[in-house]
Amino acid sequence: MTRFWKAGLLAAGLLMPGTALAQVDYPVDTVRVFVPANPGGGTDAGARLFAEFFQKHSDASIAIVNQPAGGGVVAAQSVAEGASDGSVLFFFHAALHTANLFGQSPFSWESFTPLATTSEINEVYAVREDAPFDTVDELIAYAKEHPGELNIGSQLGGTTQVKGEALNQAAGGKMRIVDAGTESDRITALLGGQVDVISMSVANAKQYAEDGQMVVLALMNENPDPAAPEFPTTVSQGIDFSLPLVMTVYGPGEVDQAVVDAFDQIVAEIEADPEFAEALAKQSQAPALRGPEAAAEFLAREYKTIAGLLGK
Amino acid sequence: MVDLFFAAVVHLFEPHILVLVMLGVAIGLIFGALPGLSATMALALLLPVTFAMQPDAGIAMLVATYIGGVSGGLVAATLLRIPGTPSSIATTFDGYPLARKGQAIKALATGMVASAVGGLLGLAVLVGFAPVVARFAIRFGAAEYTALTIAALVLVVVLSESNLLKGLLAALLGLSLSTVGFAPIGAAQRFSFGNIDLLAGIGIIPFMVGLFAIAQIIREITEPGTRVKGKLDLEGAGVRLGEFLANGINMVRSAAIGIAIGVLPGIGGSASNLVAYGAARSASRKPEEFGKGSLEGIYAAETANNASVGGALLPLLTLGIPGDGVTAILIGGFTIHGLQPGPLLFRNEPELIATIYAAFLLATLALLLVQLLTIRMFPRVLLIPRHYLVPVLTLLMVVGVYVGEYRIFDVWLMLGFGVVGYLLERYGFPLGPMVLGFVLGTIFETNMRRALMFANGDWSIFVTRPISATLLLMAAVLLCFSVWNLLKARSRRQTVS
Repeated sequence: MTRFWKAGLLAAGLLMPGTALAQVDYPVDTVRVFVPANPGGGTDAGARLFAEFFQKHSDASIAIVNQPAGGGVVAAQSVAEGASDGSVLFFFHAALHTANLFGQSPFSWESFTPLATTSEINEVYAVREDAPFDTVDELIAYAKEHPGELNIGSQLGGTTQVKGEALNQAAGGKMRIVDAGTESDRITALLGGQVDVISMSVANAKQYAEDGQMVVLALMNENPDPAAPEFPTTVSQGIDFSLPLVMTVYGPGEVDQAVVDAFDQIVAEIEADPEFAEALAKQSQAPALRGPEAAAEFLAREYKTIAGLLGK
Repeated sequence: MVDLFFAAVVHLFEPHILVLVMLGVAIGLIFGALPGLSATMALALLLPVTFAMQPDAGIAMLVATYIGGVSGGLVAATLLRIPGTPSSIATTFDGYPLARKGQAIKALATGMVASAVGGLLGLAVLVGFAPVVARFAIRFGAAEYTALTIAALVLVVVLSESNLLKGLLAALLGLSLSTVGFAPIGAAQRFSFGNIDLLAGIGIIPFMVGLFAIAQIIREITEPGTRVKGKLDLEGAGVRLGEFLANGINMVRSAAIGIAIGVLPGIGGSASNLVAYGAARSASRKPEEFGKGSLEGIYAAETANNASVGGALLPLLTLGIPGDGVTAILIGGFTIHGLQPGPLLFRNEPELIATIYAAFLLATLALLLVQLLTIRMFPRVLLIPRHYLVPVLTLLMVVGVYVGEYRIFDVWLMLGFGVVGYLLERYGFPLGPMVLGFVLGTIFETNMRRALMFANGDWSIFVTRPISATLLLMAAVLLCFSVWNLLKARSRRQTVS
C-alpha cells in the first residue's frame, strides 16, 4: 500500500505546474476542463497542450477531466449548467454539432459560451493504392459509372459522416456511406478491402501514403497542411468545402465578463508564444487560435456548413 | 529483427532503466490488483511523468506499467475472489478455491509462473512474426468479427459451465445489458428512460466491480465462514517442476488462444482468459476438478491473459492500431516520445521497435521477480479480520469507480450490480458468460450491422466468407453437441427414475 501512495505522491509532484512567466490574471485559481474523449487521442492531446500553455500564460492551474461517455453528452451536461466564474470549461470539436444534429445530444454550441478555438487537425480522403482512381475527379467519374458500388467508410453519427456526405454530394450521391467506426477501424476496413474511401488524419495518412499502401485524394481544407504540403486540397480540386477538426473551448451557458476578457488576453499571449506551434506540430496539429468573439463567429459558420451538408 | 532485439536488451540493461522498469511494473501491479483501478489509469497517470525522460527510458517504463497492470489482477482474484481486471475473471474460478484450501502461495506462484510463460510466448510471436500476423489480422473484417464473437460466447458457455441453460441465460443477460444507451451505429436511444446518465450506457468498470467485487463483499458480510480457517500454510510448496511440465501443452494452447484473440483489435484479454479456460477444461483429463482449485485452470487463465499483451502490441506497432483503451494511451505515450506507430515504423525505425520488445522482455522478467519477492506478503490478507478488510475494500472500490469518469452515477450502478451479482451467483447463474456477453455485445452488434451495410443487406456475407463460415460452423456444432448431451443425460435420468 505504501508503495502506491509513494507512487501517487511522486506523480503528483511531477505533475505540478511550473512557475509561470508573464501571467494574465484569471478570475479563479483552479479550472476543470471536461474533455469528452479518452486519454491518448487527438482531442485529449489538444486539450492537454492547451492546458499547458494556459497555465504558462495565466495564474490559474488546470485539471483535465476525461468523460468520454455517451459521445460527449455526459461531459456537456457537466459543464452546460456549471458555475459562471470560469472554473468549469468544456473542450470539444465539431462532433458537438453532429451529435446535436443527429439527435444524440440536447446540447448545441449555443448551449455554451464560446471562449476560444485552439488548434486544428486536418483530415484527408484516402483510398487503397491499387484503387482505379488517384484524384478526386477520377473517383467521381468512377462512382458515376458504377453507381452504388463504392463504399465510403465513416463513423455514422460523427464528424466523418459529414465528410462522407460532402464527398458523396460531389459525386451526385452515387456512392454509399457505410459505418466503419473509429479511425483505426476505418484504416483496417480500407486496407482489408471492405470499404473504398475513408477520411483519416494527416498524421496517419502520411505514413500509409509513404509506405505505398494508400493514395491520398484530397486534404479537406482551403490551404495545404504545413506538415504535408504534398497533399492537394479539396478546394484546389473544385470541391468547395473546408472541414478541419477545430478544437474549441467553451464555458457554461452563462459566463462572467471577466472570464471572457481574461480569455481574450490569454489567447493573445499564447498566439505570441512560438513554443505553442512547436508543441502542436509534434502531435500533428496546427495552431488555430481565436478569441471569444472570433470563436463564436467561426462556430456559427461551422455549424451552418455541417447542417447544410446533412440537409438539416 | 532478432539480432536488433538482443542488442536492444543489452542497451536497456542500464541501472536507471532497470529501476524505472521495476517501478512501472510495481505501479501497474498495484493498479491492476485494486478493483476499480485499472492499467488504463496507471498509464494515464504515468504518461506525463515520462515526458521528461529519454525516449527509451520513457517507453520502457510505459510498457512495463502496461504489463504490470494486466498481471495485477492475479493477486486479488486468487486471494479475495475479486478480479482486478476482466483479464483475470477465470483466475478466480480455481485460484480462489485453491487459496481457501490453505494453498494460497501455491495458487499465486502458479499464476505468476504462468503469467511469465504467457508473456514470453506472446513476445516470441511478436518478435518473430509481427508483420506476417498483422497482414492476416487485417483480413479480419466485420463478418469475421461477428462470427468470432458468437463462437467465443458459445465456446465459453458450453465448455466452461456445468449448467448449459443458465450459462446461456447469463450470456444473453450480458448481451442485453450491453445495449443500454445509444446504439453503437446511429442515434437510437435504448433503455435510457430519458436519463442522460443511462444514455451514456453502462461502463465496464462499474459493471465488473459491482458484479464481482461488491457481490463478494455482500457474501463476506452475509455468509459466515467464507474465510480461511485455521493456520494458513504460508511456507507451503510453490510450483513443482512436474506440474509445470505436465501443463506444457495446456500453456502452449492457452498462449495461442491469448495471442490470437489479443491480435484482434477490440476483443483482447477479457475474452481470452475465459476462452482458454474453457478450452483447457474440455481438453483436461480431470474436468471435474475445474472450479475446485485445479492447477490446470490457473495455468490456462494466466498464460492466456499475458499472452494477449504480445498479441495486442502487434497491430499497435505494425499498423498503429490500438486494440483497447490501454493501448490507445500507450500510442499517445509513444507519440509524445517522437514515435508514430504505423506501417512506416517497422521500416524506418527498427531500433525503436527492438527497444519496445526489449522493454517487454525486461518487464516480464521484472514482473516475475517483483511478484515472487512479494508473494509471502499478500496471503496475509486472508488473515485480516473482515471488519477491517470489508470497509477498506469498499472504500477503494467507490473511489476507484468514481475517478474512472468522475460520475457519482457509476457508483450507484456499481452497488446495484453488486446485488445483481450476488443474487445471480446464489441461484447458480455463472458470471463469466455474462461478462463476456457484455464485453462482446457491442462488438457483435457493431460488426454485424457493419457487415450487413458493406454487403448491402445481404445476410449471406456471414457464410460466404471462409473464416466467418468456419467460425459459425464451429459454434453451431459445439452447441448442437452439448444440447444433444443434455437431452441424452435427461432421458437417462428419466429411464432411471
